[in-house]
Amino acid sequence: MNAAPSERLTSRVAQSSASSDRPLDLLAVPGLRSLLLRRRWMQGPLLFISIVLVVHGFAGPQLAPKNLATLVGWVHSRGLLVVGLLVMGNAFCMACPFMLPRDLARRLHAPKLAWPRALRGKHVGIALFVGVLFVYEWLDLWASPSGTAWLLVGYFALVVLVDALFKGAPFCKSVCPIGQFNFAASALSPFEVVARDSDVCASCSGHECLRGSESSRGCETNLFLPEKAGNMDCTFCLDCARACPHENVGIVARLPGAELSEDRSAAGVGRRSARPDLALLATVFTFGALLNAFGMVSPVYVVQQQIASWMGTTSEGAVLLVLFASLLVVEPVLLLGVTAAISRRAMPRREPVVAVAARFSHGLVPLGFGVWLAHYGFHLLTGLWTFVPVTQKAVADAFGVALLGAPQWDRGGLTTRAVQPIEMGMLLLGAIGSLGVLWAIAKRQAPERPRAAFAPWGVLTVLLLAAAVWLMAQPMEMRGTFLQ
Amino acid sequence: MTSVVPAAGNTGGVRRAGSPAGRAWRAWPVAVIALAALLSACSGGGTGDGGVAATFRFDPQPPSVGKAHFELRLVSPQGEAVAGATVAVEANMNHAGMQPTFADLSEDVPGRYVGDVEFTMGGDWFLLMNATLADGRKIERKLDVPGVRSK
Ligand code: SF4
Ligand code: SF4
Repeated sequence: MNAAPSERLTSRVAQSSASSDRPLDLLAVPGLRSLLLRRRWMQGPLLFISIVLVVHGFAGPQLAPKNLATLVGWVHSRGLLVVGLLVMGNAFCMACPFMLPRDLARRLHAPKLAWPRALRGKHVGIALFVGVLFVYEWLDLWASPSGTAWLLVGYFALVVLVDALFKGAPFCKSVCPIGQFNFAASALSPFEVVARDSDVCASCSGHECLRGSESSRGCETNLFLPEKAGNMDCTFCLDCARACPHENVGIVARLPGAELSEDRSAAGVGRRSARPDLALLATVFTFGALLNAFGMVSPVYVVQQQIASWMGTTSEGAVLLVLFASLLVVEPVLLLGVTAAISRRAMPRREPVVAVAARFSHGLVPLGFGVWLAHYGFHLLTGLWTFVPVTQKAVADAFGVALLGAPQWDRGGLTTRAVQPIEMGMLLLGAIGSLGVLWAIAKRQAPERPRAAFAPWGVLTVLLLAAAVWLMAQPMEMRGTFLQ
Repeated sequence: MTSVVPAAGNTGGVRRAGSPAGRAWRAWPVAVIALAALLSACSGGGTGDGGVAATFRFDPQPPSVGKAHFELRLVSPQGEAVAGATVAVEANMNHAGMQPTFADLSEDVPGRYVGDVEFTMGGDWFLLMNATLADGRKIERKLDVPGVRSK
């Protein structure tokens, strides 16, 4: 039995965490460890809430602000998701409600197939992520309770289907658009799941963190703890922590964003420079943030009208397609291409422009995260308490009695004016983070002329920041039909 | 360098079959069915308004962010003005998460009800109109106000 070393280790880590020379380890905080390791108390309520959203989305009032599916689905859950990433890590995946039906399906039908090699990267997940952004705008999902409910049902069906057929966790690792968003953003999170002591790992023969133990499965996304580097592909599920017989897994504080400038070979992920799909994810994450924010301010309608008249069409889908292609393909290709072409002149080894653009694209992720935070944080803060009256009404409708009291429709949130400085602060922090990461990449890629390699990327960051500030300062205008 | 790479990757699950958490599964289907039954009971809310028609306009038309003068006319199926009603409107954005605004309307000429409605943001809005007629009947209507202009 290994109880004695395990106890010794726990107390040692707890002691060292308490002292100031070691970073904070959430799994060494008394009480928090057992809370975090028991995942069901988080997943159960979230699954319950998801079911409530689906049922209310179909059966409740088909008015977005009065329906829990559209309200909680698009306002609160997205806001809390980015806040969780900002203050801790991949908290949404940790509490993911889709995992309960998925695990149930696996009990009924054990997966036997291997996920096809060709689909192992991030391309499917990125395509779905862009697809969800597109459908959100095209079908006005933000205004459609039943559409939102269908999306949730589709999500549950897809996760069950994929993971009941294929071994491992292909849905999380390669398919789930929320997961890919979280993996990209969690590079900026202040915590990471790590092996606490590499010496313990070196003397470990079971490698239960990866292979599983008697009581827990191992890492389903194939991250071997001693060689894990960064938050990419980590769902914070803590299967590794449950499985490790030496209690050698912690959730440890670290410098947010530092992993973006590194290029070491990481378990289950490999080197960033050898993963063009990760560069694509970083690019779509950053430019998608600007596109998604652009979709809710008034100038977008002028642009859409102009595209429509230029194309001579009244098809909103076609116009959106052009807008998406312009902002998610043409714009990044031009901006990253030109910037990389200038930057590579300072590098000793003339790599192809695409390779340089791919390396530096990771440096824009902090700015992208700042834009997502500003956007989703805006909706969360301005609509913070709006779920109260809608829940009161839903309960009253369901039970025929106002069990939670009469709906308090005057419950709102912070004013737009109060939220704007917070938005600007997020953008600024994101830009500062990007500049730091880009500088670190420039130093690595061009050790002799880092300033010259960095300068074009610095200019691009400032330009993108200016665009984001301009976007956030625009009057909001959320409209379903833009062609009149 | 000591290699700590395991010989084989994840073996695909818990080695021992069955876990205590498994018991929690059985409660879920029952809870889901009960919840679906409850929430499906949400009423559509028939108003029994006897075919009273509601027409409205704003000044300015289309309205823009801020207060807009709202004028509502209630007309019976026979084409007569429906006078003496108590009318209130609740203005909501089509997008969830925005606080609604409220206005009580007053009757300036028989069957015409006026008041100021506040729009806090540009975009698509709708009004939920609630009227109690002189004979006690209640009317509920959703009135779409697309394209409120940002300033
Ligand atoms: S984290 Fe635990 S199980 Fe994994 S190699 Fe280290 S000691 Fe072994
Ligand atoms: S390393 Fe793997 S098992 Fe551990 S928390 Fe991350 S995804 Fe889960």
